Amino acid sequence: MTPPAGRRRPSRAVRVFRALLALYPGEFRDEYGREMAFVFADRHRAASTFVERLLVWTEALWGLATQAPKEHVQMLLHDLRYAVRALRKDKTFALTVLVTLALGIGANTAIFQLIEAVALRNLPVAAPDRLAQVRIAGGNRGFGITTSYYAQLTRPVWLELRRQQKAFSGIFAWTQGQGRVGDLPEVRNIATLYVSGDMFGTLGLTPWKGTTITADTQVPCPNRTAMVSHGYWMREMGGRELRASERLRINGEELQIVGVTPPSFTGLAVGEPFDAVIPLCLPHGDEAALRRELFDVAVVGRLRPGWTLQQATAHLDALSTGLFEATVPTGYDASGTKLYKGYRLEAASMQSGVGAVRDRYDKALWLLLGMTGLVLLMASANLANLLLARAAARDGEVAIRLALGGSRPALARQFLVECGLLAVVGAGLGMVLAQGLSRLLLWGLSTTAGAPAIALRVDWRVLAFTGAVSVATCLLFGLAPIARTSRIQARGALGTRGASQDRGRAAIQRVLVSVQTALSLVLVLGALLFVRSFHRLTTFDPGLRRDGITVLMLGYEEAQIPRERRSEAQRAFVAAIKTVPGVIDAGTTTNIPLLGGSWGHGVTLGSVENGANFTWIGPGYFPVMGLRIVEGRGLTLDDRRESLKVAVVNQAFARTFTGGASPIGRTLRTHPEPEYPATDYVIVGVTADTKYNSFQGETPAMVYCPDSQFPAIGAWATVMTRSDLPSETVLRSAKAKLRQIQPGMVVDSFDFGQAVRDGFVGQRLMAMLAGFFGIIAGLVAVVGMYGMVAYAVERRRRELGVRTALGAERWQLIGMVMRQAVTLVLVGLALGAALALVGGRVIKSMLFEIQPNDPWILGGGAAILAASALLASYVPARRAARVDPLEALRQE
Amino acid sequence: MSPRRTVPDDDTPESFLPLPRDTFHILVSLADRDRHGYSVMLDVAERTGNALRLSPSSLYAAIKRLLAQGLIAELAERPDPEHDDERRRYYQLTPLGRRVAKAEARRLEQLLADARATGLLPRRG
Repeated sequence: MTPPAGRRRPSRAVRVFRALLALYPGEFRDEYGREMAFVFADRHRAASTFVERLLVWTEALWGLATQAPKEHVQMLLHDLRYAVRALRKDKTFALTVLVTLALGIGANTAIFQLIEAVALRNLPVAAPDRLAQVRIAGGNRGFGITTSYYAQLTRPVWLELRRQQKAFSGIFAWTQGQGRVGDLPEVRNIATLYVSGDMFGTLGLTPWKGTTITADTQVPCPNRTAMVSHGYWMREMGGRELRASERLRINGEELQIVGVTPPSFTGLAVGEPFDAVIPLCLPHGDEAALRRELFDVAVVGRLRPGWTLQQATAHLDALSTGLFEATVPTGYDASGTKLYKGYRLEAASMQSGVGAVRDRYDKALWLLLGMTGLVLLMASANLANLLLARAAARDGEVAIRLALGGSRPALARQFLVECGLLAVVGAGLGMVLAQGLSRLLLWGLSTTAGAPAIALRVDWRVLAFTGAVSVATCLLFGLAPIARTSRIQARGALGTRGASQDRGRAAIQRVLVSVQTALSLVLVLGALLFVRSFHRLTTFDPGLRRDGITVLMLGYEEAQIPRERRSEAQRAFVAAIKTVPGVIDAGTTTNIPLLGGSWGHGVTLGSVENGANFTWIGPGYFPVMGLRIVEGRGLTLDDRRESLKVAVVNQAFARTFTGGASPIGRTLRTHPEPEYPATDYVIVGVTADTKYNSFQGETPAMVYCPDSQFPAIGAWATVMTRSDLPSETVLRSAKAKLRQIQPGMVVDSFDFGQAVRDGFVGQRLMAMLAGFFGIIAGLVAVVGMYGMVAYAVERRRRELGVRTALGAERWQLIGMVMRQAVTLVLVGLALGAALALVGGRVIKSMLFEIQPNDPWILGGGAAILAASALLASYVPARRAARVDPLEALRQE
Repeated sequence: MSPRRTVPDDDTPESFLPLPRDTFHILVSLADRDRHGYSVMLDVAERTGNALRLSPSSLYAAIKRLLAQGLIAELAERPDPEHDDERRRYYQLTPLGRRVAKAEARRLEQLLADARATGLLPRRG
C-alpha cells in the first residue's frame, strides 16, 4: 500500500503544501504543521493517478481555506478573553485608559462630525459632483448693489447666460429671501427660496407631494404658485394631503401650494433651510425692466456629460465679453462701466453647496480638530507611559511565558489585542459622547436667532474617521510595550531586572516628555492668544455706542405710504418714537454699522478721486451712536430736502481727500449711479473716526448726509433708538405709538448690542475651546513630567542610597534628579516655540488686535509651562533625598 | 503557549453529546490502538468505505479540539515502522474520551432502536 521506507527530500507538492500552512496562526502551525505535512505527504504519495492527486489537492486546499480562518478567530477569541481577564484584574488602569480614550476620541469625533456637516457633506441631489456654480472671478468688487451673501450675478446677466451657454445640460438661478406670512399687522417671516428656471430638473429632485413650480424663466409677476419644504409642511400643515385650495399668503400675494419638496433637500446653502420655493418672476413680464446693477441671484448648472469645470470655465470666459457688453448698466461713469465690462465668468464646484457657516467657521473647526488631535496625541503618550509601567510589572510573566516556549509574535499580538480592545471600547464610548459634544458645540455657535440649522449625523466618513483615530491611538500607546518585549530575555527577567531594559524605557520616556512639553506649549500659546484676542474684541471700543440701542425697522409698503410722502412721514415716526417712555433719542440710518453691511459711492473732491462709504442719517443718529463732532456741526432738522445739500465726513475722509487739512466748506461730488445721480455736497462737519462695518480693518473714509436729502428712499426705514429699557419693552411701546399714526405698519426690531455680540460667537467658541484644550494640554504635560521623574527616582534608588551614605546633601540629590527634567523642559520649550511660530501664521487672520508672535504671550506661556513642569518634577525629586541608604541597598 | 483546555464544567460524558461526525470517527479509530494522524485518516476512510475523507486541516482541527477537551492525549513521538520510519506524533484515547465515545455509541444505538420500534427500519429478525 505504501512505498518502501526511506528518507527522501520532500516532493515539490509537499513543499507547496508546507508553504500554504503559513495561512495558519503561528501557534497552530508550530504545533501541528509538521504532522499535517506528513499526512499530506502520505496521501499524496498514496495517490497514484492524476485524478486521485487532484482529489488530494482539492481536499487539502478546501480544508485550508475553511479551517485556517477558524483557527485565527479562535486564537483572537482566546486573546480577547485573556485581555478582558487582565483588564478586570487591573480596574484602575482600565478605567484610566478608557476615560482618556473616550474623552479624546469623543472630542475629535464631535469636531469632525461638525466639519462633515458644514464642509464635507454633498448636496443631497443626483450626482452632486457634476454641479457647478457660475460666478464672476474675484467677485463684483463692490460695483452696484449686492442684495445677499450668496448673490453673484444680475438677472439680465443670468438670462443672457442661459441663452448663450453650452456647458450645462440644465441651469437655474436662485436667491434667498424672507417672506412675510400671516395677516397684517401681525406678520411673521419665513425663509423663501426664489428659483428661476428648472431647479428640480437640474438637481434631479422629484417632489415629495404634488408637482413642481414652473420651470419657465420668463414667468411674469405676480406669482401664482409655490412649493413648501417638507419641514414647513410637517410643522405648519401637519403633513396633510395637498388640496387644490391650499393657499399661502406671502408678502401680500396669494399663492397656491402645488407641491412639497423632498425632506432631504433643505436648500443650497448649508445651515439655512428654506420654508417655501417661489418662482423668480419677471416684473411686468418685461426683461428690459430688470435692474442691471442689482446683483441678486446665484446661478447653478449641471455640467454636460464629458465637460469638466475647466472646460466650462474656458467656455464661460469666452462668453464673458459679449455677455457683460450686452448687459452693461446705464448711469455709471467711465470707470464704473469699465470695471463692469472687465468681469470674467467662471465655473466652480457646487458639490457640497454654499454656506456662510462654512465660510465663517471652516478654518476654526479644522484648527480645533488639530488641537483636539494634539491633545489626544499627548494623552496617548501618557497612556504609553502607563502601559510601559504596567509592562514592566509584567516582565516576570512575559519571561515565564517566553521560557515556556511562547513565541514573541504571540506576545506582541496579545499586547495589540489588549490595546485594540481598549481602543474599540474607548471609540464606542467616544462615539456616544461625541453625539452630545457635537450638539454642545453647535449650541456654542448659537446667536439670538438660535443655533445654525445643521443636521449632525453619523455617516461612513465619521465612522471611518473615528476608526482611524482609534487605530492610530492604539498603535501610538500600544507599540511602545510591544517594542519592549523584543528586549526581554527569557532567562534574564527571571533573575534580576536587566538594566538595559530600564534604560530603554527611560529613553522612550524622555522623548515622550520633550515632545509632550513642545506640543503643550503650542496648545497653551494658542489658548492664550485666542483668549486674549476675544478679550480685546469684547472690550474694544469701536467709537460707537452699542448698548441700550434698539434697532426699529418700519415697513412702508404694507402701510401703503407712497414714495413721495415717505420722507415726511419718516420725520413724524421718529418724533413719535422719541415720545415713547424710556426712549432717550432716535435717528434713522440707511446702513446699520458694525454688522457687515456696506454702502459705497465714488467721490471726487478737488483733484482727488476715491471711494467713500455713505450713510444717510436723521439728526438723532450722532447722539444715539455717541459719535463725537470734532469740527463744524452735525446734521439738524433744518437740513431739508430743498435746502443746500450738506455732508459730515470723518477724519479718515479728511486724510484721504484733503491731506488732513480741514475739509469744512469744501464740496464733494458723488459719481453717478442708477437712482443716485452725481450730486454736490458741502461739507459742514467732521466726526471722530469709528469702525465701519466690522471691528476688523482700518477706518474707511465715511460721509454722513441728512436723510431728508436721500435720493432713493425705499420700502423700509431703520431707526436707531437709544433707551434705558429692554428692547422688547421699547418695541412694544413704539409699536403701539406708531399704529396710532399709521395703522397696519409692520414694525420689527432687534437689540443692536446683542447683534454685535452675535457676530463674536465664532471667536467666543474658539476662545473657550482653545482655553479648555490649553489647560488640558498643560495638565497632561505635567502628569507626564511627574511620571518620568518619579520613575527616574525609583530606578536610581540604589545610586541615591549610596550617595546619601557617602554624605551627599539633600539639595544636591534633588538637583541631580531635576537636572534631567530641566534639560527636557528646555528642549521641549524650544521645539514648541519653533512649532508655535510656524503655526502662528495659520491663525494670524483669526486673531483680533494681537500678533501670533506676541512676545508677552510667548514668554508668559513658556514661563507658566516651565514653572508647572518643574513643580511636577520637584515633588517626586524630593523623594530622592529621602531614600534610606540601608533599605535601598538591601532591596537589591 | 500553554495548551488550552476548554473542558465543560460538568465533566460528564453526556455533556459532550451529540459528537460531530468527524470527532466520533476519530475516537472510534483510536479505540483499539494508538495511532498517528495519517493512520487515523486511513482507518476512518477504510471503515467508511472512503465516504469520509479527512483533509489534513480538518483532521488536525479536530485533534486540537479533542486534546483541549481532554478526550484524547498526545503520546511521545515515535517512528512508525509502517510508514517510512519517520517520527510521528501518536494519540490515544483518555478514559474520559473512551466514556464519551461509548456514550455516543449508545446514543446512536438507542436512535437505531427507536427507528426499528416505529417500523422505520426492519426489526432484527
